[in-house]
Amino acid sequence: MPEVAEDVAVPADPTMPASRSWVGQGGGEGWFVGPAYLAVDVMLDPVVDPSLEADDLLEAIALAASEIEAVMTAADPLSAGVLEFQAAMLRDTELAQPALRRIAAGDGAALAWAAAMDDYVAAFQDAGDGRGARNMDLVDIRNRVLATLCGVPRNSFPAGSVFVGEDMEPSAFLEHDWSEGGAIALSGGSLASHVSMLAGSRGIPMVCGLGDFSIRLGQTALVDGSDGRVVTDPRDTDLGLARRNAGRAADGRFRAATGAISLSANINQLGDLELFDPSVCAGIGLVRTEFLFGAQGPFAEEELQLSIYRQIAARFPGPTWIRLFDLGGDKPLPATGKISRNPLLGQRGVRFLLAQPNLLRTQARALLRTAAEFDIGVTIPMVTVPEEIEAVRAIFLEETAGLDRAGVAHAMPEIGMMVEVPAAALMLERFTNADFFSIGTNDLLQYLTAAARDDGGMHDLQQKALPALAKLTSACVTAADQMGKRLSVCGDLAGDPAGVAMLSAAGVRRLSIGPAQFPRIVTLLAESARS
Amino acid sequence: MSDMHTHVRIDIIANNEALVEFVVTHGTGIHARPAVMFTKLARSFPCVIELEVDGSGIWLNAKSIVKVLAARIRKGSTLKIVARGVRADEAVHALCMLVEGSFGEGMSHAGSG
Repeated sequence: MPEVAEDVAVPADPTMPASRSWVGQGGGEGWFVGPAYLAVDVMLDPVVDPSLEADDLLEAIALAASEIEAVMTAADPLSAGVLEFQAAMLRDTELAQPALRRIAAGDGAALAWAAAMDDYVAAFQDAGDGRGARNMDLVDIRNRVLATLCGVPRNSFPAGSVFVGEDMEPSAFLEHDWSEGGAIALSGGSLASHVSMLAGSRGIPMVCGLGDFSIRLGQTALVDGSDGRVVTDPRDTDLGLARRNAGRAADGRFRAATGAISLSANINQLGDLELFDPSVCAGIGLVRTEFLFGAQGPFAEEELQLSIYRQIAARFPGPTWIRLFDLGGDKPLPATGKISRNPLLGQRGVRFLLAQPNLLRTQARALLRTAAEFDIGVTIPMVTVPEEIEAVRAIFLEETAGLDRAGVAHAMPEIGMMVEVPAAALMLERFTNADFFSIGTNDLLQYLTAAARDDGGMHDLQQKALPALAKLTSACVTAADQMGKRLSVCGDLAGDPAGVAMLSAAGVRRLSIGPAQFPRIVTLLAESARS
Repeated sequence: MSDMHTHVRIDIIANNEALVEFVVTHGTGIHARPAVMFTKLARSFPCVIELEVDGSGIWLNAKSIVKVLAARIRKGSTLKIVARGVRADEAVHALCMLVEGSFGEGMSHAGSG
């Protein structure tokens, strides 16, 4: 139930307006502060114009339907699904029949339409889903057609402001530019509404059921979706509380989902991005860049690489660790001349990159430019000694100078390393020049056991030797902890329930997993967190 | 699905005419999203399809979302669907399966609507 909670504290500066707060039901995600935009009651009053007739109404309905369909085409599947109902209603010739009967009896089109739709809204109140909420989709249809019929512009509120009203129409939410953030504060509304669902999916804070509350146009308002608070003229203490609430909510969500272990995504191609649940995905722990560019592979030009890295880095709020091209070994690169007799022990990973620096330089430029906008780390594959990290870092620095001269925005990303060569794993404390560590269990296991991972006959042997991997992993975790550096594990073991148990016992707290295994591990960790 | 066979019987009344009668078991009945699915499916058949709720004697156009929604079909409602014309048998079968199969269970979004 809405309640009014007057702040008791008196502001130190008497010229500063006192903050006031109201409590409703919170939804969406996080909090937002911005100027209030006051929406007129969403039930538009029809303008009585007797010259509008049946044809005008049918035309307005058809126009409204095509507007909705246009929004649907541009929308994501969830949003399009919300509008599908409206489009179906508007395209059904039955919809207009009651209004047409009123027109035949002498009403103007606008009045007839409004009255007929009000009847629908009343009839479908509480229809089916038992939530007692006014069906905002019907209100949306009513108002869109009315606006078209009467030539009244629809509510449009400025980006980056707080929408304040009795309720909000789904299409108004979908047509709004949320790129500058924003929030929704409703005196009515329902957390079961389409708008609430959309706000949740877009991470827009929302509070509904505020009852009577007072706020002026342009007045600064804080909307906290996590505790259902709306505060006008908020002070630092109000913002502090909102920040703590957001932290607790994220933490709780995370713990509820996975316990103490954080899960990141392994990405092999752009399409993989859609396969991870962003609410439990802490970031991206491994991007296998050698698979990203199709036939072009590591020869992809800088701009193409940049655009794809940007798309990947923009997906999840957490950091994105992008691995440099890992070529050679079992991923041979055509047309590079030499064929190694023993590719897995020859020129692969960083060894290959340093031997072919032109490929590395192009990739370095694309990554330096990505780092100007996003929190990325660059992972070096197959590192054996610290000097290899220095050599790669030197190339990044040289490319930095080139970008400086060209006046192109860039930043130095964190540079970390794959831990997959036993000599490196055993001496991790020497790698003070690495910013983070990523254990690749597939390669580390095959080098530890001298048993090839793609040789099916070696599988049993590798399984029996897992305790050696566990012991080494545990030593790596200890070393990384002492150095204060992050360590994550990627590789098949991290996506396997028994492997996760082993890694967890070895002290690993970060796993990076492919899309096929991700849901299974989320479920597993959620269950173990509950018990 | 096994329930379906216990209280659903499709009668072929005549050539090109089929009738089915069954009780709706879907949790929230046929409101917004299910109504979209139901009428979309109905419109994919060339035959005339009508429905009656709880023996009201009023037959509604099953291809109209406005009519289907207005019928306020709930859990426990007895639904009669009759189809006349080409593929009538197939149409009542498909619609019955949709409702009885709880709209493919893919209702995670609709649950919020």
